[in-house]
Amino acid sequence: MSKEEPIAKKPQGSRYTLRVWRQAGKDKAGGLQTYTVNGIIPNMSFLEMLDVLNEQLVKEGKEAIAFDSDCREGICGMCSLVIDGVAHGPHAGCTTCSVRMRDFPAGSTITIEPFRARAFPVIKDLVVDRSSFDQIIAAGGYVSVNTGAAPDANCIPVGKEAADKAMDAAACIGCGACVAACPNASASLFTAAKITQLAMLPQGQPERKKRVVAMVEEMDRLGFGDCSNHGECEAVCPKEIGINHIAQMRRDYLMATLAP
Amino acid sequence: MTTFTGALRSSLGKKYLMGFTGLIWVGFAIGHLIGNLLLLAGREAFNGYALFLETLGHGAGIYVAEAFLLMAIGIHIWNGISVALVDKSAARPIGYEVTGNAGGRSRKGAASQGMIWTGLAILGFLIFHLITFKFAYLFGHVEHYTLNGEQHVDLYGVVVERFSQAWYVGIYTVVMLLFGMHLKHGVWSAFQSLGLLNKKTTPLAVQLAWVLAVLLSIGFLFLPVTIFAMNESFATPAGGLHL
Repeated sequence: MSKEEPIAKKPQGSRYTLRVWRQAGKDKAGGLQTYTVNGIIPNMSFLEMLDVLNEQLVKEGKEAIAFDSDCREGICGMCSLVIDGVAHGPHAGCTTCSVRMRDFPAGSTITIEPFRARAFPVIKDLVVDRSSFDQIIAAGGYVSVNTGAAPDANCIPVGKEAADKAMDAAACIGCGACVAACPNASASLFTAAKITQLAMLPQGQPERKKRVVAMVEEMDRLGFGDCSNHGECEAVCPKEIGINHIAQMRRDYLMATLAP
Repeated sequence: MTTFTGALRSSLGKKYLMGFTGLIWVGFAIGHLIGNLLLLAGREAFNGYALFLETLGHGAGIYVAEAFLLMAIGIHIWNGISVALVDKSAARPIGYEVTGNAGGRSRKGAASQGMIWTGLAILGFLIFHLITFKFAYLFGHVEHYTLNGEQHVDLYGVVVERFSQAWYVGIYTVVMLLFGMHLKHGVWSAFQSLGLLNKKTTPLAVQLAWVLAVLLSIGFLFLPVTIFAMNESFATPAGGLHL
């Protein structure tokens, strides 16, 4: 063994061409700009790839691309991005931060756009204002009585199927991909998940009818579109929440308005 | 709290109305196809069936049914335009430069995205269909037959004469394939819109939609094509299909 063992070479990485939506501010005009990024290894996440590009831009004295991110482990719902026309990119059941660059052939061109909806105005570049989701929750997506400290486990029995359905709905992280992917920009899947997570549980019953009406009215007021049952929302949802929750919301809304 | 009528104007209300009126027309289409099969039995059978419908409930039945269907289709068209054209462009004023399909569990495709266009094609066809069959006597000479001293339109003759023309059969073929596309998304979607589906029943509803789409579009296609191909058999005084 020679003393001068060569140090493992730093991987060269691949080159990608990116078409990124740049927009200086909320009411400014925007457009797609093309960048080339080098040194991208397959295990990098999509956002790490954008970090590399931003470092490159800063070194060149240009303004970095604004995009949302927080936990970077797929649970906070902060990252967004429509990648090549699909919200959260090509990998099913995960957020943009969990998408890896191995999903993109080296040397390919990737188009990155912000989530598009009237209710999600672009603040800057790829960052959109999703506070309309907070407004839908504020309209009734909670239990308004003070329940005190955590009760003993199993003191309120909940059936297995109801508990499962409530948990499925409660997995929603409010990222907004359902709206971004919907051809009509409808918020039906988000609103349905936030209604169903409470409608399945005993604690949600007293306000069940009031809640569904208030939240649906708020969703409409905010200017989201109407659902056309494309099911694209379910396919892009990082938590794989099903459109069966939308059917549940429709049943509840119908019952609430027929027999208030 | 909103009222039921108020709720019908909400985004969910539009879905209830679309689904309900759509299913009414699916029911009508099934009945219409079964009735049409009497063309295979001959001139007397088909004209007799037409006369039965016209005289049902002392002649009032058909007007009640027509008013009901007209109301249903009016609501369907109004909401369809509202959902797919007006609200859609309002909810996303700036569209995507690149659009894609997520695949997987998505049911987005040509059928679901083309609902408004297949729907408008069916509407155009419906007007054409009524002018050339039901109201043909208003727009040109049609043959009549006499029964119990009364003159009646020979509807069988009108149908066979129209379906002897290739361009006419061509239009029917194209529109019935579009009708099949409309049903492929529309039927299961109607049940989903009415809130009737869950995880277990959704695949069943999707299969039912496929079956109805194939049966109705092929069923409605079968008659013009058969009458065109076997016109000598259908154009005889007795009519019907004789192999």
